[in-house]
Amino acid sequence: MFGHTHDIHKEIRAYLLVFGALLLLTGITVAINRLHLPTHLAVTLALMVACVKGFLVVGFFMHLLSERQLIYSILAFTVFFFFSMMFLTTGNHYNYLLGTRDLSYELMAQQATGVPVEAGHGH
Amino acid sequence: MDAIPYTVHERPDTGLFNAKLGIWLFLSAEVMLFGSLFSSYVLLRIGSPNWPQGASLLNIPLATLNTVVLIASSVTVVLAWASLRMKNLQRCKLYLGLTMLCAFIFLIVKYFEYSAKFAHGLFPATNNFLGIYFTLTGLHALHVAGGIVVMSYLIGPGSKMWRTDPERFTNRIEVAGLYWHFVDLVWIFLFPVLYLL
Repeated sequence: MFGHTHDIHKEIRAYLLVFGALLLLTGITVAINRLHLPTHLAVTLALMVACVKGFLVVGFFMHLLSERQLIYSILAFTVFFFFSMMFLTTGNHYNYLLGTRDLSYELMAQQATGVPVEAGHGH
Repeated sequence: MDAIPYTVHERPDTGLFNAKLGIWLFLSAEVMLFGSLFSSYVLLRIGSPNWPQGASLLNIPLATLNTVVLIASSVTVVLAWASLRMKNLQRCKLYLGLTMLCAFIFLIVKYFEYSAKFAHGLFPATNNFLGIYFTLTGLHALHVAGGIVVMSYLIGPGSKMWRTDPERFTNRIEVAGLYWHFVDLVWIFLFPVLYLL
């Protein structure tokens, strides 16, 4: 808890370096938006940069790089359930059983364009 | 014996003081709370034929400013903890005060953003994008406000503990800091997802 002043000064230097890196990565995130890349590429790049920023915050500011085993175990469960939830919701969207798919968007498009939409035409 | 044991020293079986274990469990629950809203965002977005670009509706310069402000506040709160470990309460209070200042700046900027949207007739009920935007950013802003309450207590009446039990007070600052970093972390993902993509 209370530490040697020299060690703490070293930690403070690390915090300031991470601060600089986070500012740089924020600039990169905004630049990705300015490049007008295709949506899937922009999403992938922006989320990769966000993940690096998140790693810096969690690893250095929250000291997760040097935490106890119990916290890693708790977070492993959290990560598992987080990705399970993301998978179940998005997976459900792409996995309608034949004939049960929600056609509301197709019906809206049909009303707007007057062109009939074939039933069973998947995503 | 203390009413709540292991507030200073680590429990032998967990290797953690109790508040630290508590805050990580709380943050895990928070991950699931925001995660559920993120998954809602994904589902709404991939299910919509016409999802607007955040940049066409939202103010990117203001959001970028808010990102910088929150990142700066993460640095000041960790410096507050480092100051206490060097037994300097006054400097700790200064850094906590700077953190609160950043938090207030964030909320004021958010107020101007929301006001501009309402003035243009853009409300949560206008479309799905704005619905999830106001829900996610509103919940996040509530967390920022909660952080302000905690830090006000720690700068004010809570700091008396420094005289009687400095190690426990240092632990409290660390735990409050972990919460605050999480608030920053959520914004790091909200910013590109809502504003830029």
